[in-house]
Amino acid sequence: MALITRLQFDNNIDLPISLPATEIGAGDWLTIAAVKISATTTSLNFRCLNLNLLKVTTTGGDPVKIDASRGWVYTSLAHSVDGIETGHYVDASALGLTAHTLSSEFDGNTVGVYTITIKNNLSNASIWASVTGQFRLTAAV
Amino acid sequence: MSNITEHEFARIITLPIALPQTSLPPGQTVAVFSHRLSFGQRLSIRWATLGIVNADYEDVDVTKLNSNLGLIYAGIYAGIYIPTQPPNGDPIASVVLDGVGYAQLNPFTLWNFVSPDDYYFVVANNTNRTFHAVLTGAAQLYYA
Repeated sequence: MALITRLQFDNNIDLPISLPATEIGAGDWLTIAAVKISATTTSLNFRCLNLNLLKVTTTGGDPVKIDASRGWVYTSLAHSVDGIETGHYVDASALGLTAHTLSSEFDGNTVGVYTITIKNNLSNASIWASVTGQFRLTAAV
Repeated sequence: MSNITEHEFARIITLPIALPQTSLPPGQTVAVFSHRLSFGQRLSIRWATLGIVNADYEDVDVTKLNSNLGLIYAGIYAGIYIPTQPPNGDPIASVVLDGVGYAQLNPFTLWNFVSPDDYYFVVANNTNRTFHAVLTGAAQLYYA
């Protein structure tokens, strides 16, 4: 097993994905983090994301989902300004904490912008949520 | 001094504990960090600085909701967190402030968590006055 060199260590940085408890209106969304990759020699590794659904306030009746295939709220990793989803997301349809599986990694080195967004997938309720996660950026040695 | 392998390094993650300057109304708590710890993982918290940027309590009697803690505190809780209520009991570890200024978690005392559970870092206004608080810190996650 190879040991890492000082140069390899220096070429890594962990970038935060952090949203303190925030209210998101019905159908609304927020960009929590954005990382621009400008050279294919830089790679982004994503694996850790925790979505904490704190509160749901409906305007009456049961919550109504906009996208039936997703939960009440979801946080997803997308690429480029067009927001092409990478398939890595965490969604929740109940109060409490939901975590992305650490063993399900995403490695990307396509030039462009990677974003983490949180979307309130309910048309009749506002939600409170917090998010904690991390990207690791690695430059080629 | 032992060395670290590429495999080990890939399994050490730094997670943010961050709250930009935020107005906290009386009794308000804000969840700023959440992590679900699984078996075989270790969450290590060492660095956290809490600040009160300004407050409106001068020349006014301030009442604490939990007399064991400061006017403002940031603390680690495990288990179920109910955001609509003040945190239940004292935190496992905390940074407390009793006035405008800054305080930090003792960096020479490492808090290591290995029990599978949900862990939260919350900032709480423990008074009947409004404060503006800021928190910056990090947690290290180790997993196999």
